[in-house]
Amino acid sequence: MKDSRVFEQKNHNKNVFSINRKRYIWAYTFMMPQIIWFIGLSIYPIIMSYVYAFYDWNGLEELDNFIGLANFKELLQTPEFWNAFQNSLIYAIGFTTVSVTLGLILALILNEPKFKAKGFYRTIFFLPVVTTAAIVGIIMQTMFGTQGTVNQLLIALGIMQKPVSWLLDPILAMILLIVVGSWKNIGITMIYWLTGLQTIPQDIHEAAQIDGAGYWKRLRYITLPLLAPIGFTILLLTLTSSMHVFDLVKTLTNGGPYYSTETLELYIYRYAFASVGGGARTGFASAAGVLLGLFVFLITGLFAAIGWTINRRRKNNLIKINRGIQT
Amino acid sequence: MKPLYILMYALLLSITFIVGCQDDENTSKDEEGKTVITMWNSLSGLDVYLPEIITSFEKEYPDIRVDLENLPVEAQEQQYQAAVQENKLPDLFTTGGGYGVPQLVAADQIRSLDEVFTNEVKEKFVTGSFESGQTVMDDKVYAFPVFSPSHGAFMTYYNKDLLEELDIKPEVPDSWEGFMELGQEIYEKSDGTKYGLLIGMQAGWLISDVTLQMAKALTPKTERDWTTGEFNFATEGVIETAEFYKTMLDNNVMSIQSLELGAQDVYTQFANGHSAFMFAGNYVGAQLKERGLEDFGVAKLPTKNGEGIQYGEKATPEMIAVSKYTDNWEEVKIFINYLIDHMYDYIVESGTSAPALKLEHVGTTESKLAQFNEIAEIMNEVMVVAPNPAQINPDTIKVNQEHGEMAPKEGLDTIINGYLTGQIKDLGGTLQELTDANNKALMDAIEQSEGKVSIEDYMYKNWVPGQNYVKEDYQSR
Repeated sequence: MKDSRVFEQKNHNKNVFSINRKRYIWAYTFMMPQIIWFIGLSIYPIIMSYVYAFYDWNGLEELDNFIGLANFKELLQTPEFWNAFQNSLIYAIGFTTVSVTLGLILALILNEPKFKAKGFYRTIFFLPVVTTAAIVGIIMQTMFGTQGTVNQLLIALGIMQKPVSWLLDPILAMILLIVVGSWKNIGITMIYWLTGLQTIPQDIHEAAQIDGAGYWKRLRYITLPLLAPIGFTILLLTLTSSMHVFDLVKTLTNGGPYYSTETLELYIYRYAFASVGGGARTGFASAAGVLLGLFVFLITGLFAAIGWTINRRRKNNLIKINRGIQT
Repeated sequence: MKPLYILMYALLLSITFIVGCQDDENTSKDEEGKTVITMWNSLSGLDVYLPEIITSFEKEYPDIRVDLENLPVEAQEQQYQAAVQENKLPDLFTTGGGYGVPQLVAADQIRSLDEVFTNEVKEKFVTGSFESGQTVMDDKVYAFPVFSPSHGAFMTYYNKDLLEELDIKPEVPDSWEGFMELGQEIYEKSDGTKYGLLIGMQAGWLISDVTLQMAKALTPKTERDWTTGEFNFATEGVIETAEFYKTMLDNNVMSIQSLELGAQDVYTQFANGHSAFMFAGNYVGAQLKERGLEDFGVAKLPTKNGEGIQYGEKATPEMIAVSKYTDNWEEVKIFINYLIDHMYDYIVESGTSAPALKLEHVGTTESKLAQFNEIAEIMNEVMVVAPNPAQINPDTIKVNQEHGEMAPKEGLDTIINGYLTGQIKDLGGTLQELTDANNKALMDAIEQSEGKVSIEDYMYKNWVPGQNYVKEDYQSR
C-alpha cells in the first residue's frame, strides 16, 4: 500500500515534470525569434563595440590593427572628452532635477480628487513625450533663433529691447537644452509619479484628515515618505536616460556654441561619423562609448546600492516599530 | 514530440521569421520586368536636373528603371557609412560622407570604370579631371567628375534689387574697409531691417573655404605651405579675416543670424532680401534663381586692401562612382554613357557650375543663368592647380587618408565660430594648436608608412602660391 502510494507520487511528479518541461520548451519556442533578434541586434553590437575599442579602425578596412588600451589612454588625456563628459553631467543633473521635481508637482496637482479635466491635462503634458526629439529640436532652434518667435514676442511685450542670442551664449544654450529636454520628458515622469501616488491607499489620507492633518502635513508625513521607493526608481530612470541625450542636442544646438553643449553621445558621433576633418575613427569612438556605458553602469550601481540601503533601513525601522507595538 | 524536434522546429521557425522580415532589395528587376538601377545623389544642383535626365533616359531605354534618392547634405555620413559597412552602396552614387575614391577603393567598394572611360573618352574632359588620388587609383579610373576642377570657388553675391531699393549703387567694394562702410550704410538706410552680409557659418566647409580664400590674399602660404609640405592655419591672413568678421558683427554689417544658420537657410534668407551681400560658392547662382532671385550680381570676395591673390586649390570632390557589388553593370554602363551625353548639358544650361566635360563636347553652351559667364570667369581666376603628391609617390594617398583620420576633428570653422561667439580669446594660439596637431598627424602618418613616404614627397620648392603647378614643375622641383 505504502509502495503503491510512493509509486503514484513518483508517477505524479514525473507527469508534472514532463508537463512543465513541455511548457518550458513551448515557451522558449515562441521566445526564440525574439532571443535571436536580441542577440543579433543588442548583444552582438555591445560586444563588438568593446572589441573595436581596442583597435585603430576607421570602420571600413580590415580590423587588424590591435592597439590595446591606446584609445582609452588617448581619450582620458583629451580635454574635449572631459568637456563632453562635464556637459553630459551638467545636462543630466539639470534635466533630472527639473523633470523629477516638476513631474512630481504636476502629478500631485493632477492626482487631487477635486481637480477637473484630469484626462485632458494628462494628455497635454504627455504630448511632448510622443513627439520626435529631432523635430522638437529643429522647431525650438527656429523659435529661439535671434530672429525667432520667442525674441519677437519678448520684444513686442516690452520685456526686452534687443533680441537675445539664446543659442550663441554657452550658458543660455545649456539652460535652453535642459529646459527643452525636461519639457519633453516631464510627461513621462508625471505618469510615473501618478502611478506611485495611486498606490497609496486613500484610507491613510482619510485617517490622517480625521486626526486633523492638513494637506501639507499629509504631503510631508504620508505622501512623500510612501513615494520614496518609487521616487528612487524614477530618479534612476531619468538620470540614466539623460546620459543618452543625442537627437535633441544634435538638432537644437549641435553641441555649440564651441562645444559648450556637446554631450558624450555627440562627441562619439563626431568621431564615429566624421567627414569633416578627415575620416572616421570608429575604434576611438567605440572606446568613448565603452567609457560612457561604464559610467552609466556605475551610476546605476551606485543608485541601486543607495536605494537598497535606504529600503533596508526603512524595513528595519518598521520591524523595530512593530516589535515596540507588540511589546 | 521529442524536445529535440521541437527545438529544431523552433530554430526553423525563427530563421523563417527573420528571413521573412528581410526586404527583397537584392532583386534588381521590378514587377514589370525592368532592370532597376539605384542611385544616390548628395550634390545640391544635381537634384534639380537628375530627375529630368532619368525620365528621358527611361523613355529611351524602357527596359531600365533608375531609382534616385537625393541625400540631404548635412546628414549623409551615416547613410554612406552604414552602406559601406554592409556592402550595400547603390549601383551608382555621388561620392560623399567623407569617402573619396582612395577610401572606397581601400574598402573594396567601387569598381573600375576603365571600360567606359577609355583614353578617347577621357580626352573629352577638362584637364585635371582624372587625377591620381582623386578619380584615379593605380592608373585605373574609379569615378568620373561631375563639375570642372575649378568648381568650389567662393564669391560675393549681391542683391541688385535691394541695393537699388536703398538707393545704393549696385557694386561690390573690393576692400574690407569699403565693404564695412557700405554695410553700415545698408543697415542705417533700412532702419536696421536689412544687413550688409550673410554667411552660413553653421556650414563648416563654407566658412572654412571662404576664410582661407580671403586669408590667402594676405598670407599666400596659408593652409598648406607646399614648399615645406606643412600645414599652416596660424597666419596673419586667417587671424585678420576672423577679426574682419568680428568687426562686421559688432557694427551690424553682418547679420548675427550668420552664426546660427547653415548654407541652404542663408541662400533662402538672401534671396528673400534679408541682406544685400552673401559669401557663397560658385554653384549657388542656380539655387538663387530657383528661389526666385534673378537680378543678382557676382564679384570676387573682398580682400583687406583690395589687393593680393585670393585662390583655392583645384580638386574633383564631386564625382560619380559605381558600387563593386552592382548586379547590373551592363545597364549601369548604358546609363553612364547617357549621363556623359546629357548631364553636362544640364549643368551648363542651369548654370550650376562649369562642367567637367570640355565645352566643345557639351551639347549646349547657352546657360539660362544670366550670370553664368561671370561666375565661370571668377572660378577660372580663383581656382588653381596645387601640387599633388600622388603624382610622384602613390603611397602618399594612404598617408593622406591616415592623416585625415589622425588630424583633429576640430576644424578652422569651429575655431572661427568659437572666436565670434566670444569663447576663444587667444585666436592665434588656438590656430597654432590646430596647425601643430595637423603637422603632427601628418608626421605620424608618414612614420606609419614605414619608409614608403617621406616629408620630401610633400615639398615643392618651386611652388608659387596662387599659380598653377603644372606637369613640368614636378620635374624641376
